[in-house]
Amino acid sequence: MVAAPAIGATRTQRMVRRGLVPLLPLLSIVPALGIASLIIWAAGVNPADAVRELIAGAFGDRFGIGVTAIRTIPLMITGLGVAVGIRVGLWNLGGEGQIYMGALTATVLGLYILPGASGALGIAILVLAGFLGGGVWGLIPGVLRAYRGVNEVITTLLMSFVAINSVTVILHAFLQDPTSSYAASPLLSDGLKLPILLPRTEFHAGFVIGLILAGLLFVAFRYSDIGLELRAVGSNQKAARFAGIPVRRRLIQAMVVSGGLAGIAGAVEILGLHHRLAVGFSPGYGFDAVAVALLGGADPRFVPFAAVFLGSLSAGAPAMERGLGLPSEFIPLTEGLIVLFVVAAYGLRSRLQQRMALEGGGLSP
Amino acid sequence: MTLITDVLASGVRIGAPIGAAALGETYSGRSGVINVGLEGMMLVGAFAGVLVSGATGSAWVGLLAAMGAGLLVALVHGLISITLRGNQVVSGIAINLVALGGTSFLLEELLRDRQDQTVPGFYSVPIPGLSRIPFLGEVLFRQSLVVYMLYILAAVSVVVLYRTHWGLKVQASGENPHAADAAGIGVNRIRYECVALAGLLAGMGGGMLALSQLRFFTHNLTAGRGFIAIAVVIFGNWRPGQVMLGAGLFGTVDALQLRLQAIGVPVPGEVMTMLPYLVTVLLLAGVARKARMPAYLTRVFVRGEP
Repeated sequence: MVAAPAIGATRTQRMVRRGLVPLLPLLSIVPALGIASLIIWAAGVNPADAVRELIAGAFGDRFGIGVTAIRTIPLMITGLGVAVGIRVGLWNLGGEGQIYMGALTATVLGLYILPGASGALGIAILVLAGFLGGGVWGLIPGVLRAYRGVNEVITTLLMSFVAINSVTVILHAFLQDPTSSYAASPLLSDGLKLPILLPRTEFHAGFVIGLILAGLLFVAFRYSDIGLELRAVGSNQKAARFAGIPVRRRLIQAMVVSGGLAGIAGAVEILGLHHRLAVGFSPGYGFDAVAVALLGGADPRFVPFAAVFLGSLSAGAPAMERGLGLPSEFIPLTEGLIVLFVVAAYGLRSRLQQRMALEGGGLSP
Repeated sequence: MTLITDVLASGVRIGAPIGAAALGETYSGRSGVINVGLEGMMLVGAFAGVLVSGATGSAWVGLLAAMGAGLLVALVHGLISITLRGNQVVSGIAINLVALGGTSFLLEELLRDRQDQTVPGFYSVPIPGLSRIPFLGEVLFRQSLVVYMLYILAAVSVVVLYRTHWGLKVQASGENPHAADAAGIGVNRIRYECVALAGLLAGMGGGMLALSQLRFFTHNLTAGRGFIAIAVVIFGNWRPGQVMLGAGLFGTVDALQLRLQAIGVPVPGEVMTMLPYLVTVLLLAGVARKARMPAYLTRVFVRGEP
């Protein structure tokens, strides 16, 4: 339906709309939290108490900060990966599988191919291995999308499940630690552990790696030629092609980086936290990373904040449960509500912006 | 019953909930809307089914509630993806998160101490006469009433999608919404109707899962079956008949794996779990045949914009 010109809209109205509309996605968090508060209240808990317990649990003491950090790190790195995909218009939903592949390659290399390696060099090699593992898992959907037009939403999802199951099989068959009763590989050598940043916690240097990656991505997107081309591809593929940009190659490269980052996240989880590959070591970070990327506006500057936000939610939840009897499943519920409202807001915003553009007396499309 | 018919019959029983969800997603996909939130709709349906069946004492009322719950969730998805033009994929992921957290949350809150109580459910009802047919009868006609309903729905869907006006409108909405729009078809309305169907059927699938196989609800009951349903739809090329076959195939592989494990054959369960996904990826890569996806799947339709 073509929007009718807003004859009679006052200058103030138009100014308010112009200012308010772009902020819609941010504002949409309010109704989401409002509904969450209602649910909390219906469960017999004072929402203010819940927030207090949550913050205390996530940031109140050394232990809490440590837990928040270890939840944040994989979310940040994988979230950056998803954000890279979003920038070129691709949806990488296979983060979970790519995390597993990265963890697998890092573990195998660390245990069997370079067992003597240690220190910064050894860690760097293993992180690179993680990038390769995840990158290959991003490459395949990327190629299918670039050359066959196969929707990457579907392929990344499917390949994710293939990866998770394959890694489990490989773990059981080849990597199982005979001395352990868990389904896990032997421990990596001490030289291959990431340093701890906060003593007496498990807050490891993966956080720094994440921030460095965020910085690199920001610089690359803003200031490099490839970054410009990727943004162009994300904006308008046809126009980019006419401008001589090798669209297919860029799409594939973006998918490789996207998957590779998730792979790094997997490797970092192993090197920094678990020090061995175990079944189910990732509780769905790959999917949560999509929420992180979205909340961060697919911008490397904001993704770390979004990661801290979601990480602190999941870190504070047990405290909320212990202190108030509020089941911790409330957290994914709230997360989902927030993403739901944000998605709706993005869509609504583009609708309103279109209508406003028409009203502005511009040329009709 | 021989081992083969036994396994196949189990396969039908296991594949039916997935087939129901996949059937709904077939409609939705054909009209151009992808439902990554299918998993969430199944889960919500399962929860509602168990809750209401326990409260009313009737599995059928529970099933209705399951379908209703799925429908509600689907309407939210539709609102966000169609009216508000939000991203379909992210909407689906958010729905899954809300469903998982919400159902487990409500499980704790509402059923705190009664979580492993079983509720009235569906049992197998052999159809007299038909169930005596050697092989096919043993496999297909010794199922629960809900499964028979699914057979009928599947057959009806084949007719509806290809031979009715509405079905053709659905196909047009997914293949070329602009042409459809120019021809006077209300594309967004058709999409809403198909998304609603997906929710109804996914809810039914979740209800079937909970009420025929387990008869109680646990955290994350569906465990990824919604995603398998999506894979099955792709595997079946968005054609109802092939989709149902795919669901049956998956169910059979699962049943076979369970049987082998029971016997003691060391087949890793994960290999079987992985197969449907792997096969579907290969199909999409064009190994066996060209997959024909509706051209406008996942793309927002806005009149006047490409």
